[in-house]
Amino acid sequence: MSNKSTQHDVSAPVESSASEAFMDSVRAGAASAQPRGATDGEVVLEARGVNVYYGDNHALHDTSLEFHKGEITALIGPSGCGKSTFLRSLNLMNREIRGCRVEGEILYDGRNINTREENLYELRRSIGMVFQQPNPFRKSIYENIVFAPKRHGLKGKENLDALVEESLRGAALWDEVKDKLHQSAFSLSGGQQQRLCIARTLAMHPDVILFDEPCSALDPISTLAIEELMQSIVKERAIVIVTHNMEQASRASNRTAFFYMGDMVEYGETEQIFQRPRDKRLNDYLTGMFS
Amino acid sequence: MADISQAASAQMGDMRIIRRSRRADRFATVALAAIAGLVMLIVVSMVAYILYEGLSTLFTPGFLTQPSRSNGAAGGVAYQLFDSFYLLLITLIISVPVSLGAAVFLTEYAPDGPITSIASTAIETLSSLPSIVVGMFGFLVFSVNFGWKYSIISGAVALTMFNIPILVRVIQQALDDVPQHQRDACLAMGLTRWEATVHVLIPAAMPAIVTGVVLSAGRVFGEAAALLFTSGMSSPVRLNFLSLNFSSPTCAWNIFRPGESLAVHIYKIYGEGSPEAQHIVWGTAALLMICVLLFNVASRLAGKALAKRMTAE
Repeated sequence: MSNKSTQHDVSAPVESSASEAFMDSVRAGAASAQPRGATDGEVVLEARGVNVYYGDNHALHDTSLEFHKGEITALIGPSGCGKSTFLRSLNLMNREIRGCRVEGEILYDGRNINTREENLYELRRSIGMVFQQPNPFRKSIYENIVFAPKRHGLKGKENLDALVEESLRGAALWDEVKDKLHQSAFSLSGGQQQRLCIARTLAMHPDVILFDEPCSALDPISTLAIEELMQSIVKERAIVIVTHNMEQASRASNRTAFFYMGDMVEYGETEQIFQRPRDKRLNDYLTGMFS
Repeated sequence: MADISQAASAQMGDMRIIRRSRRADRFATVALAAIAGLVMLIVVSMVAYILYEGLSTLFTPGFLTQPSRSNGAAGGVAYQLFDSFYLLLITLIISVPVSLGAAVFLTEYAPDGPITSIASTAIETLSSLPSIVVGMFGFLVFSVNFGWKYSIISGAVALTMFNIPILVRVIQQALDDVPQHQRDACLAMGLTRWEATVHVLIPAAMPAIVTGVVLSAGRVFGEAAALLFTSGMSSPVRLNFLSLNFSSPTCAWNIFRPGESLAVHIYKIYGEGSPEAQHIVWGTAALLMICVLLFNVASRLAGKALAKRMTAE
């Protein structure tokens, strides 16, 4: 795993390949969406020299990245490259895995949160997470949203009702469920369940939302709905998304980081990453040489 | 030409193999069906025989409502029936919370550590102890050392030791079956493990837990060996169900009075062997069997009803 030494010459000219046609289609996909590019949003969350170990397995090497307010950052790379591992370090979810160790600094709100003293329960309200599999609770739609805020001390029916409406509107789900708030969340379709999970996260008013392959269990139409939703909620916060879907990364994100075998290989504005990849490994990945 | 004949014979070989495996498949189907049929036949004939011998006594007026008389040779089994349920109730009151706590600790708090493997081994050992040994231990510790004598509470504690391993395993399984992403969802929203367990995981596992508890209740209900030396082999001659004087030896609710379960009653009067008592034995056996079957049916119904209520409220 620890092949940090395989340093490719970054400036080497990229070979043209048989999969050039695929590349064209990816580029066309990126071009047809409006260019998002980098903004000058402030840095909300920053990783500095993060290393992650599972027991003796050094799964992520010395990764540094910044996440800006108002921007979507996509993390891409082949399976097992460390992108999900990195994502799960940002809200310290990796701490829940036995034998997992996260080293390095993760700066949020001006402080390093990767310390034993950090209050995880406070922190995770500010850094929300949406998972691959829609995972609503076996409760009503209403309860799914108010459950965590109630545990964190929110009281009063009016406050709760207002929070439910605000969150569901935020997740573009209100019109579809406003007449059945007290039905089971399991009565919703997969795409609706995922939007409910986003609404549930929005109810905590997080500054950062981490998406771990949020659309890989959804159909194309639900996928587009989630992508539109991300655009509408990104204004006041930073979004980080792990995705296997290259088109999704190219059309939905402002910046992209490419991970390969535990290294963060290349990071830049999404347009540059997809149209002018510098590293050979990234180019090979984009042209389908490996997956 | 040689090639063609070779290919043909290879094909013939294939055909033979296919025919042979088809024959084996048909034979296996018949054999397995026969075995399954035999098992069913054994169950059905046993149930039928016990009902045939016992039903007439069971429906004798007073069998379920009168206490036993003349050393079990006459009267009914009202007190034994009550004692069986009372023992079961006390056992569940003690064993369900303990097992729930142990199972939650093992699945949610200490996964895959040395503590878990030691605890699991201990629980497995406890579950494989012969119930007569558990009874002996209960007698020496609770009846003699603690001075509880032959009493409902001694019996219930012995039954608890016998019940905890089953319950811990059932609840562990139920919690393990709750998808990992439910835990992730809770933790990612800043909830503690305890909040996740109490508000999400246990409710999600509840149908399976209830099914397991009721099934284990069926086993406890029919237990005899662990009770012989602990709750004793006799009920008081008279029980007063209206008395709330919990220290009175005739108060039905007094947990320090001796009590006799249906299964122990069968053992006792069958062994004492007066011929008149035989029909009482069969009646009691039929009653015990029907109760245990009802527990099994109830566990399924309760589990299904709960699961239905929780998925589509």
